[in-house]
Amino acid sequence: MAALVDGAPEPQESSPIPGQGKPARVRFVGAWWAPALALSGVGLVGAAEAQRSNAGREIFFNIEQGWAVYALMAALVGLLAYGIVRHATLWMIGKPTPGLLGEVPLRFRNALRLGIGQEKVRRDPYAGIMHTCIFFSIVVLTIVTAQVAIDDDLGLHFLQGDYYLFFSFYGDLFGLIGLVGVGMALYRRYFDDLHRIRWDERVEDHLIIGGLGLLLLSGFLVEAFRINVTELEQHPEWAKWSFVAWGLAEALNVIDLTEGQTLTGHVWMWWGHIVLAFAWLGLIVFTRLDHIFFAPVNAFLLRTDSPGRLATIENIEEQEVFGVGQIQDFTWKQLFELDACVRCGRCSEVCPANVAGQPLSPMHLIQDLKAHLASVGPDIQRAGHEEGDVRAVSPLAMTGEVIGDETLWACRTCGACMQECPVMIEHVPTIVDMRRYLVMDEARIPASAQQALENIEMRGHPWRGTTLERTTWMEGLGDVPLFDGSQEYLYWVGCSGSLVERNLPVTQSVFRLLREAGASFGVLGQEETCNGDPARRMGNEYLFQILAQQLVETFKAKQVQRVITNCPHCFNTFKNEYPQFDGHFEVLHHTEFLVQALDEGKLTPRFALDESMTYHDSCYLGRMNGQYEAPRQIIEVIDGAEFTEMKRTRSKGLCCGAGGGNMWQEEVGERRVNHVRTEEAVGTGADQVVSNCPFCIQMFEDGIPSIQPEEEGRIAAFDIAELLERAVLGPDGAGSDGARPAGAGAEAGTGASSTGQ
Amino acid sequence: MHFVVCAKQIPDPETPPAAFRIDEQSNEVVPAQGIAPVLSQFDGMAAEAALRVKETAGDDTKITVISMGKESAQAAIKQVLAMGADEGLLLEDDAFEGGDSYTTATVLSAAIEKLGDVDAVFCGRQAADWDMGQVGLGISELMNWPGSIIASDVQVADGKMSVKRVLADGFETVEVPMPAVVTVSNELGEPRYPKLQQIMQAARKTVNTMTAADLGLDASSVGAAGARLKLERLFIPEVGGDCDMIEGESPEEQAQALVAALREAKVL
Amino acid sequence: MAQDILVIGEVEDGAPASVTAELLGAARRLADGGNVSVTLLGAAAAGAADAAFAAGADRAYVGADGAYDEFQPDQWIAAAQAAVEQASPAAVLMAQSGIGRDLAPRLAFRLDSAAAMDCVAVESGDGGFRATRPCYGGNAQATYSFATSPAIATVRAKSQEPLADPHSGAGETVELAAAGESRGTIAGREQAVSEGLQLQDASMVVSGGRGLGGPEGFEVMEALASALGDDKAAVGASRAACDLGWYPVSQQVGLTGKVVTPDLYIAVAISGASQHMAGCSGSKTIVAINRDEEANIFKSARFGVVADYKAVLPPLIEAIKAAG
Repeated sequence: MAALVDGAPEPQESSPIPGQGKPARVRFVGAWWAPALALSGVGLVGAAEAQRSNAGREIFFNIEQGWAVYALMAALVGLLAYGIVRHATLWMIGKPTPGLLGEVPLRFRNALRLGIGQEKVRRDPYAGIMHTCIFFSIVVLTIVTAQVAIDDDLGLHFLQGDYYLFFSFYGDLFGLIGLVGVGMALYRRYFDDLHRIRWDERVEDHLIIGGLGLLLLSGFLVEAFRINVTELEQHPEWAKWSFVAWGLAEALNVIDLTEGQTLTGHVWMWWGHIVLAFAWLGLIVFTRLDHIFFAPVNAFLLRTDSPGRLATIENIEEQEVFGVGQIQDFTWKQLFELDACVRCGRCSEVCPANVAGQPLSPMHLIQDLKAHLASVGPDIQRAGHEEGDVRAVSPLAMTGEVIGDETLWACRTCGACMQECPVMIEHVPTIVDMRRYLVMDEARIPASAQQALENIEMRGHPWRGTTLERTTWMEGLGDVPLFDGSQEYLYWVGCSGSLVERNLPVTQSVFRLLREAGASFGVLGQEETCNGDPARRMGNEYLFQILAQQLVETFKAKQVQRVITNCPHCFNTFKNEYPQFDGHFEVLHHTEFLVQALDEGKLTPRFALDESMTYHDSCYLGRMNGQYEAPRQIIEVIDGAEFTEMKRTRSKGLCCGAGGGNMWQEEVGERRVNHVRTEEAVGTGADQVVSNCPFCIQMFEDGIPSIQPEEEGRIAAFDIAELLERAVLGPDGAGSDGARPAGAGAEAGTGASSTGQ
Repeated sequence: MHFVVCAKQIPDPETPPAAFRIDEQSNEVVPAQGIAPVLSQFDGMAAEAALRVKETAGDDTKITVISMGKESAQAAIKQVLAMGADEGLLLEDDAFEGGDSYTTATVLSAAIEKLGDVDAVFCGRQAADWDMGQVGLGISELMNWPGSIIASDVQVADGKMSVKRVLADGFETVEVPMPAVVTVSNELGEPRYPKLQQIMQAARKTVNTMTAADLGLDASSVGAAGARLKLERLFIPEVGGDCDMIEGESPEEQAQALVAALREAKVL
Repeated sequence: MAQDILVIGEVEDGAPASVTAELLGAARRLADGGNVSVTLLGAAAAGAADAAFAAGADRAYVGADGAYDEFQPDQWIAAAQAAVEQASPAAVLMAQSGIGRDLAPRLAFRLDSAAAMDCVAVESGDGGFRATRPCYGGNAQATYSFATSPAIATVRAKSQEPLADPHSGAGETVELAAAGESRGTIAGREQAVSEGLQLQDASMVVSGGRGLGGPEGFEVMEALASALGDDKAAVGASRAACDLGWYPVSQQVGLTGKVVTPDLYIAVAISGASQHMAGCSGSKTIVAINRDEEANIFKSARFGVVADYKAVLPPLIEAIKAAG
């Protein structure tokens, strides 16, 4: 389940085929630090085996002002309290956050798994190892320090004998692990080619990592000076347990210091280490180190429903402001989230708009909002208390000036940023909230997007200028049953499936496969209308609600219970968003239905297809709904199909560029997203790129001639249903001309050969 | 100031050609199933022009949107109200049915007369159903106000209306004294997208209705009775005919074949 | 039945405009032996009279006042009204031009009669004068008769044939009064910035539509026009493309843009909505290039290429260059 978008309840990475459960996933979670644990074990055993000793050391050896530690500790606690209060007053200018009290056990699990367990941090293996090294080093060394304090303050004196030796060993071990992590971080920050972490580099970044490195080193040096003048002389066999400091202590002997000089050095080092330690911890209040606290809390606050669902504006007609125009229009959770951001750049690294050089970088967006909150938040907070005009406080319009319109429109709502964010920030709802303001409050929309929205209002579909009708695809298919409540499934064709030329063959393929599988189904024909997904994602929540309410009524009146959709966007909206309008239906994407029918033997791929293909995960079937397996299972059962995965695949798949209403917008920026993605598909060397979404297919078809100007050897874009239809009904729909029936060829029975990674 | 925007509700001009049908008996367009009528696009632009002027002229400018049509034309009026117009007036009477540009201009002029204090009338350059482009000028003639057509920009200052007109080879700016009539073309730009607040305010507004009697018009002077153009026949013209599809294995081959075909046809 | 016809003429470069000659040809036919008169306004009007007689007029109402050179509705309507009063025609014809669009409705209301706009056919029969014109964005055509007189019609350029042979007979010239007052004043003019050939003058027009996907598509269109010859070919655009700001509105072809009638019209990535076809259907040869084989444009095209323009235009440009 590491492929989860977040802590949502099971986005069903489902495999509808019974008995063929989820493929075993090799989990490397935590595997890397097994060696560290093993070494600890060795240390423990070693200590047990060693000669019983009266090992131990004098706490505050050579230090006369031990109380200074407590003074610094008190200062730190005060500082942290100040920091929390300062942040909290800013968060509280936000609106209430609904639904936080639901699903509390799940929220705790998220805090543990995603916050403490840092599951998402490890989606980047290098950063995962680095961060876990540092994290566990700090945790263990804090425990080490705490033990010293307890030992001394409570007079328990348990740091004695064998345990003292083991204690010395693992203290050094985790100090060393910390240094390994710091080393990896330093390499990435200073020697790697411009790494994402340097996209928004600040002085604090050097302070944090440099400071931690010095802190760990100084710790070792304090130890080394102490050991040099104590254990090394009296109990050299004890000293070896502190293996790093022991090595350094031996090294000190080379310099040949007098005992007095060594003791002086020890005092200096001790002070340096203590001051550095508290200064570094103090950074928590002023820098992104605060994620130590904010990340687990944000994991707790993370939504527990589907990431494919956008929040409803309740009682929309009674609102004074629609969406988010000013910083205080956000919920306090959205404001809290801004503080959790660590500027790691993972979101921007996977953001399709950013990848294509378009004016959106989710990290910068969050950081800009954070800076804006810091700049106007205190005044807004004050105005709110004094009943001033809160909306007049900010000299800048947040939506439009702090965050430019073009930034907001560039978002594909693909969810890649949220998928990667290690501190569980939810960028997409934040962006859509601001779009809502642009569209409903300011009525400021790019011309082409406006045309799509107007077309939905006027004509019930976004495809301005189409010359097709909703029934055009039915021509030549014989009897197409209309849904009357007696059938099991409503086959929802969708606007693209009926009004866009390229998508008609897909609709027809699905239809023929449904018929072949003997499914009981009907269509709505002329009565279909946009279900509102593009309107909602483009920010017109009002239009969406009207469309959704109407369609829920229609579905109920027609006694619809199960829906099969052509389009992952329709699928997501019916499945995740219609329940907000009391529309509860069982919703299948055609991919899911088809894999079910294959499993139940209702469809049999009788024709081999000697074709090579790659598969593009649509965002709304994949990331938003966790369905990665069904399409791959379909490809797998097609005889002769040679399958290659793209580099970015499954939950890391790159959007085709059409999501979030960008199907109907002109792109601004260096490249088009579909060109980038088409390049990746072409890069696999496959003959076909298979997907499951009418937008994706249009985007590929648009991108292919630009990436491959020569028609010879071009990659072709197909829907998975078109592919399966060729395998089930033959290349010509029903005949075997040119097809090699499965089982007759050389590769018969071998099934799909997979060269996937 | 007081502006009037004339708005007409028409069958959707973007009805797919396959769904566009005519009843040749009655000489009427058969409404396409599931395709709702819309505000004539140029009238939306006329409203946009009036609103832009209002924005510069100040809040004491009132915009009244007038439509002559059936009850369903309320939707067209509400759409312009949502864009920011202040009041709506529906001119609805069975007697108005079946008229021509002359009777339409007559009815609208009577309404403008009734309003009394109108400074400017904004119309679309033509209704996107009949494409005549006469009503605006008809109002101008009947009111005896200057009229300017096919505007891409309208400005008002010092009792004068300055109209940037689209010509075949460029633009011309004409200044006329007000009250005046202007017809607006698509070069002005897309009508604004209404703000939700305004959509909801518009929904709450009541649209006044007036009949021929209210306007003091005799039924014989309006509608089919008063029309001077008689529609004899409405039909779908036969278009083109045989299209030679240029085939080819590759775009290169298609290109070569097309050039060859054009040379053969002596076009190149 | 013989009847008198009045043509509101337009003078271009000292001679009747080509559309005026077409109208005179049509008027001759409609007059059926009756009198054909023409109004000629502007500084060069008198000089254009002979050419107008040759084109079919029996009488010319000449307003040789330079003030008429700039079309001012108030001045022109007075002149037209004066000519109508003197000629008492059964029908008044004018071009569906900037002038005709403005003048015909005004004249109709002044004369308590009616005008039919943008006609593609005018005829006269037992039922009187009839005019046929496209409507519903070109999806339909309507034929009208007139309940009042005179019948007024604006006629689309190139829809009527000028006389094949010069009309013989000495023409009569009648002076019209000098231009009167105008309520409007022309405060400025702007020539549309259009490099090279004007759309209406081009013998070949290549037009791009929404399907080009963006303004960069028009660079390829310009390359295609160049290959056809900078002195022959011009680039047009559909309204969708102009409204999206991809190409200047001065190059818009269609119902609300330019009506072009070139020898060759190449429509690229244009679906062929009737509103667009209204602007190009008079072209001699239409070539449609579109990815969508069901596109409406193929119904009106002589040659069709089902292909992505990005793939087919570069080799087409090469092939045209190679063909010289």
